[in-house]
Amino acid sequence: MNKLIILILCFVSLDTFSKVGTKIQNLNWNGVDVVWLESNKFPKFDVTVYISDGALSDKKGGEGTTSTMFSLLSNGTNKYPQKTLSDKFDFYASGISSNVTHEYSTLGFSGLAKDAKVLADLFCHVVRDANFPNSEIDAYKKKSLSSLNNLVANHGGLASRIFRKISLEGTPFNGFSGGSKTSISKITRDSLLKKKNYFNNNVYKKIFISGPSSVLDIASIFKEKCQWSKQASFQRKTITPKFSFKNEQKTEKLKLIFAPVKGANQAQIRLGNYLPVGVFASKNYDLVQLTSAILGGGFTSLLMRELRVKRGLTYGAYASAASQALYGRSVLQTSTKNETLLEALYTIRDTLKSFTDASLPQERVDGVKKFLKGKHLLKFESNTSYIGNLVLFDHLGKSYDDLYNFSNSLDTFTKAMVIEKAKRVYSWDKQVIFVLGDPSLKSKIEKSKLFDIEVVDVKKFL
Amino acid sequence: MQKIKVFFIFALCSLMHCSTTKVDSATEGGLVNGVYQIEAKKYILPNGLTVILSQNTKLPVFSIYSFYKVGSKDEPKGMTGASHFLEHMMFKGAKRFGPGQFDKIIEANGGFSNAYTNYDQTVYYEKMPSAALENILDLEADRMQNLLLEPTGFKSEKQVVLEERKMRYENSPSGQRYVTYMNKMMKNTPYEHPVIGTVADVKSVSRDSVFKYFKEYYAPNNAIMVVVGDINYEKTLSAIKKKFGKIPASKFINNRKEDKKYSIELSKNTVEHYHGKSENPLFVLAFPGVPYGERAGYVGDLLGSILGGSKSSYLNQKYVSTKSPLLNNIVAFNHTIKNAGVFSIQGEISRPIGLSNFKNMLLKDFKTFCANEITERNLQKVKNQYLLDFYRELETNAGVADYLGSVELYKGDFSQYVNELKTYQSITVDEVKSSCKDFLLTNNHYFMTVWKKNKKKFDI
Repeated sequence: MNKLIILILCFVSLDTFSKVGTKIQNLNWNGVDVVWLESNKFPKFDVTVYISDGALSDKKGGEGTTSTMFSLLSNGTNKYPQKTLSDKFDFYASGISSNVTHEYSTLGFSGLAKDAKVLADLFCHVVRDANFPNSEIDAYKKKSLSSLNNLVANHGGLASRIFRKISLEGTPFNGFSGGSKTSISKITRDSLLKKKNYFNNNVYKKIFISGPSSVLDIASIFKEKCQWSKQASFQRKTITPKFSFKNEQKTEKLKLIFAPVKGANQAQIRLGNYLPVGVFASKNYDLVQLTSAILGGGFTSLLMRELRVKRGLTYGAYASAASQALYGRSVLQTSTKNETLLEALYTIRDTLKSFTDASLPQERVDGVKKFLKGKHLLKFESNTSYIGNLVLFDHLGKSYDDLYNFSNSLDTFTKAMVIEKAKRVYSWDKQVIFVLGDPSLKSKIEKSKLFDIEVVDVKKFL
Repeated sequence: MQKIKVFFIFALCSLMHCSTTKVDSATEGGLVNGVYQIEAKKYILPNGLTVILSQNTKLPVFSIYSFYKVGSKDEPKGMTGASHFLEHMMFKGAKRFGPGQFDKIIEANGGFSNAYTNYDQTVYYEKMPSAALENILDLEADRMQNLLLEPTGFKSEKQVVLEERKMRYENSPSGQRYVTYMNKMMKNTPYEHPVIGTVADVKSVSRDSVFKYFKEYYAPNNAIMVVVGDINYEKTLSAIKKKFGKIPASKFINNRKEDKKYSIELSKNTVEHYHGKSENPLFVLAFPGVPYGERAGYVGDLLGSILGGSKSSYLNQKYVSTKSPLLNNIVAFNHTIKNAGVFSIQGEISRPIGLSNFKNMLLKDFKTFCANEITERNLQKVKNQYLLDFYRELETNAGVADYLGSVELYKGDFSQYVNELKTYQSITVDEVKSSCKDFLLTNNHYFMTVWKKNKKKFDI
């Protein structure tokens, strides 16, 4: 641990930082911010482009357009058909990866350092020249719809998808970033071309690169071929949406939303809720991580101890809470056999209740702090993981110093602060409770007289 | 440079009265003749424990991987799933560090721990801050020597494993497909049962039989310990020697016969259709492969990648990335295990087609593929992909530890990884073409599907 602290203290200039074993340099290409992590261990490189808008840019009914646009970038340009592009990228062991969240997106490619210029040229070509052939759009739609239909067989994935929708209901964040069957069906070539132009010309971008210095030769290619500039300055995170949120449990008898799936031999359980970003403000961001890890962040977490170790009710139980710049959410998830659903729900209830009273041992808080400090170091092991964290912190508007000072930040939190945060995030009576399982579970839940049940049809969430 | 290093290690050992018996390798990091060299050192303690150390001081962390050369292939009748069950029980208490202590100590030291089991090996690993090295070695030594298998925990963990089994296999169409085709391909070999075990065996296995199994296989002479990260070679070796040096070797392992290699023979054109929850039919077309380490296996790896390993591969372009896709996805790969192997093509059908017709279509395709698609460019393409994957794997301490330990376990010497890389680079188009015929243009195959409209019950 001392080594890390020494490294943090040893940064040398405003533009060049040597932290956690990697030299970081800030650059500027045509007004576009660039961060370079110097890495000479392997003759390879990684590029990630942070793009400051995401699925929230999709119009109502057009959910999934952004995600589809990024997915289809390399499926045809005015110069090359999909087959040629795939062959070119594959030959250099590369390809374009994309990730679309509600508030931001990322595009990336990687390869051997000697191929960086060829790949940068290809990347900029598709980013600018992608023409989304109708045949590719049709094939993509078919695959997407088929994959959504098949989600019915993946009970864990289906439960998480439905839970997102219902727990964030009433907010602009409950849409599926990848779209629904209905919205994907409506996507057109024109909407994808418009979306591409919007992201190229209007939205702020920041480029993150890792690799040896030779990789910086791609600068001229980015400037000339990608043609991104500082004129593209829109940032989604600066627009605070207005909405009124309704999902607080208010009655003595809690509401449980149940999704029947015939033949399911395990009950999927999800709890959680929408969280305003104020819950994560400043150092609270780290405090929420600590609180969540105590509840469900490792093998010794309260949930794992109560559900798995003591009772053998489940294989895994996890709790997490995280935020983007405009919203946050919490999720507690586990599964259990049908026969033990009620026992699992009662155990979760009792665990959450005991978590929010003073009985939480100090030793537990101290132990989890150490656990998180060690785990935090691993974020800097691979360049892609390191860059992923820098991207997130940029989006949140947090200083990189907050990332490096996480361990010190944890030390400032007391047990009382953890309990207060647990009351805000994980109080039993503030949770949206959701169960997906065999229809026979409905009568079991009813008999418990603990919940009012609302039944939902899984097909409406595809 | 290499000679100096080897000399230095011998000198060090004599000063320490080190009982290290062998220094197999001392290499310098970086590229040599185009091959990346991993700097690592290997020692074998008198009780048979193989130790591999590799220093990386980038961050004050290390990863430790303990490989036990025991997997589901070693399980006796009625004890299927025992290796995987022990994987769970190894976290539930030993003599010095009792129930609940293991994870508590790991996490309180800022670490993360987990394990995995497959047909040939069981691997336990921790990722930790450097300062915790001694504590972790104490934990690993305690559970290697003095595992409790505490009865209450033994009973409740069976329920956990049964839930895991549902999650991974019974409720997962792709999981059903995997255990079913491996069972069929590996019939009458020790590889025929699923790694997680059958429900009946998991429920009925006794503590005594698991304990006997543990005593036989979980011993230093059946283990490889790999430590990679911010370590000092001398101090780490000394600590390992101190904590593991007195653990006795297993006589059972010393007397064990060499494993037998299996060549798979199937009834011609075997076809089965199983009921599963999948909305679309999932399929697999499987061919007998070869065991790990044979040149034919490396050629098979490249063949699989050219056939169906990436977006531009033949099968992807023909069935997925096409104007009218018949499949949602398809992949071809060569799965080599220690004493056998399977070459398979797997995917998901997206629109109505007779399943038998589809199988025949694929078989017909292979003739075209073997004749026309194995070109210099396509071969170079997959070699480039293998090289980049290799670098990616070595980016983390855990990746290096897992890689070195696996090569040591399967090849008997971690430094053989250099030869593996060279082997891949040396494979020619003609070899892949010949391999294509051997693997794919044969009637010795198995085709199965999992689909909600199929009737046959999943029975493994």
